[in-house]
Amino acid sequence: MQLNIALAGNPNCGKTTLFNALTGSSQYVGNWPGVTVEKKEGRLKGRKDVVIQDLPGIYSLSPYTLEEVVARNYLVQEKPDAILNIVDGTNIERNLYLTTQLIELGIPVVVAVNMMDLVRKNGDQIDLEKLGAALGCRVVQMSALKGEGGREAAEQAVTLAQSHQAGELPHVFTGSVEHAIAHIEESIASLVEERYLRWYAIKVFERDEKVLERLNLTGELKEHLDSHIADCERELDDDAESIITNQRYAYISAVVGKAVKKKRAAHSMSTSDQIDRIVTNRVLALPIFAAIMFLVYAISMGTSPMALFDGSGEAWGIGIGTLGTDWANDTLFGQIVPDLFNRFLLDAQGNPVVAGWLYSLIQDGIVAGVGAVLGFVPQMLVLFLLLSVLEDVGYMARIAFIMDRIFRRFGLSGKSFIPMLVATGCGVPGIMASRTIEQDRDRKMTVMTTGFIPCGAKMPIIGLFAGALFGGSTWVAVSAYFIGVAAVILSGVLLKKTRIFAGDPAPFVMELPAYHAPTASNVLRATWERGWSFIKRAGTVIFLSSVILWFLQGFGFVDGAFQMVEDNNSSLLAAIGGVIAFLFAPLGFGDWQSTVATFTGLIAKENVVSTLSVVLQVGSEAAEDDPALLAAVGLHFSALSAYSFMIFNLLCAPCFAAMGAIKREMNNPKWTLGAIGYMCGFAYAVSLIVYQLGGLALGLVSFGPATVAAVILLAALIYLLVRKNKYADQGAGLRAVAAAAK
Amino acid sequence: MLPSILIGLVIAAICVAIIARGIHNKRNGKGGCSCGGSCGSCGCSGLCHPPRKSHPGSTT
Repeated sequence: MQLNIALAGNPNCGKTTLFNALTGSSQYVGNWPGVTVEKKEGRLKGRKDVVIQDLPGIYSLSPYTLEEVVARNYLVQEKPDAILNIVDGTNIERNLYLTTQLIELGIPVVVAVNMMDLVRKNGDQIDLEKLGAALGCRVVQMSALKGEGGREAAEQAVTLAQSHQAGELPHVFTGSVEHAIAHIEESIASLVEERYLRWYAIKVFERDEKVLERLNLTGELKEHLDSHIADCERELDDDAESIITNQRYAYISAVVGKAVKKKRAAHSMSTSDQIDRIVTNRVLALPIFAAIMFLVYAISMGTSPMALFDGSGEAWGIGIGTLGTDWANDTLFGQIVPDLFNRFLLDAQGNPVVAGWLYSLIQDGIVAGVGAVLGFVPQMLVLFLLLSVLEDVGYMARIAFIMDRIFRRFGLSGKSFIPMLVATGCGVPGIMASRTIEQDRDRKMTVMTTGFIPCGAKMPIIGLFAGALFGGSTWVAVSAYFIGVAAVILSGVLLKKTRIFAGDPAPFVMELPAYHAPTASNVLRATWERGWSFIKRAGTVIFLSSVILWFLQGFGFVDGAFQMVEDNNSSLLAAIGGVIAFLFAPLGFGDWQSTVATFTGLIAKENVVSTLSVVLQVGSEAAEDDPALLAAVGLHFSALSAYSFMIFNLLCAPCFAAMGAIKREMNNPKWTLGAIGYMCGFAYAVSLIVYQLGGLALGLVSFGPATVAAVILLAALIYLLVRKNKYADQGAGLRAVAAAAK
Repeated sequence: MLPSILIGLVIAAICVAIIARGIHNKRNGKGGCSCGGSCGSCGCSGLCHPPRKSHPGSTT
């Protein structure tokens, strides 16, 4: 017989870490609350008959957030055989609130006090026996991070599940409340399963709308029960929900008083608090964040340390990622791989042993296209490794907190920043993560702007242009990240002044996890998964795209006959790209090659790089002097047009997969088109302003209609940013209407 | 001639396999998401990668 064990607990208490350890899964473990929104299932290692359910982190069984609804529905409707309640030992008072509710469900509960290593380190003591006796259930200790005690806790839960015996319900509430609850229990006994009776009765007392709806009580019965609840409210001079909350906390305080001895005074500062005094300081937070991100990009995508020796770039290069990418581009995919293919494809005289077109397809299409993308893997791996370390130590959660202060001024909530943090890996889960934002207008705005943050697939574009035209300057990569953040903020300001998006942002409450040393397994897993998905795409989507692009740029109509062309300017691709290339001329890249690269980027953003590699005929006569991709791109673009091209491709419509995610989240064709149109329009405007006005200032562009358009757009943008928000009071007004309606 | 045919067939087979795999993934709810399957950071992973019902009596 199958046994179902539910892992339940507060956000960020270590459920997913334990879940991975128990089931051998590799679910993502995030060090900020809200990583698990859905329940995940796995089988206990060595026990095929035991299924473990990893539930989203919740603070209570109230139905206020998506996570709470998912967890509560599972516990009440799908009825697991036992609950393994993970409790953060360093925050035991707050965690026990949920524990008391779980025990009331009547399902056997094992409480596993996690982070016991930290508890001991802090000099605190938790008497597990006393705690268990007070709660009426089995209490064990563990440290999920160190892999201690998790298996034992799971075995306890399995034993309890097999016995089907729930513990004794603790006496949490005072006499009059218990009296009212007893009345309710009596009245609804025939409507619910016996073991859930207590929980349902308390929820009815709290006037939980979802539970009342589910029980479908008769008007008369409802009135009768309400009179008992109202009596209680009068006696205790509070509303029913607050009475339950207060008495629960009073009970927990008493339990903790008996079972927990704290070494530190209640309000003394922990090490994390002391670090946060600096890291989240009102003045220092933003410069520290900027400095950290600069360092991250400098190490991953900045000037190679080799520049110290050959004098080719900035003298203080620390770009370890660039060092790897330079080797991958120049040596691995520039020499070793092509030579390897040549060994099989050329005879002793250097002539192809296969048809000329096939040789060209392999070397100029597949090797050049796929190799151009794979060459950036070292930079990506270093970037993802550093971002994973920042997340695992707990700094990423602080960034959301820091950004909330800034975002709030511009009408966005810090909650919108979580999807943006997620989107640094891939835009698709970033867009999906916006689902946790309750307010519809904030959610839609987040979906519209999350794509501005450079995802992993855009990194090769940044790396390519930084290397080809800016000597591998760190500033290019850093500016790309901050242009993304600035685009989000500017969009927030612009959109919040429109009627559709007007209103105060939702409050952002987030628990900051304690800082801890990064765990090698978590960091390496996150880095590898992101890197591996990139490599997989290079071997599939990019491979296929390179073959198709090679064909389209290698064949065309010459004198009315369809044939292979010598010059790819006569190709089908040139003809297709040439038709719409004029659109991009004001942005500085009105040639068919750049146009095609921009459009193939819609399939996958890495395609921009592989397309340029194929259409610029890297390795063939077109770039005979220096067959490297960087040199070919350096010859094709000027620094300004390259920067404009990079900005456009970073901010314009994301890849098709991300567009699909936008469509799913918007659930409305007009909103989907509006979001994609807004991104393209915004990207076009910014690129136009940068290229035209930058070019004018540098003397590279002559004054013309496009310059006038850029000036008008800049003026319009400034006006839209500084104009008075006539809907500023709408949020307050709506709240007043809602209050009046109540 | 023979090497050209063989290598051409290999490349064609790879392209067909990539397309077939893409269609298979799409039908199984695994769209073009580039999260690598674990959705590096996404709490809503089940939305793009619904868990397979590999065993009877599964609760999901």
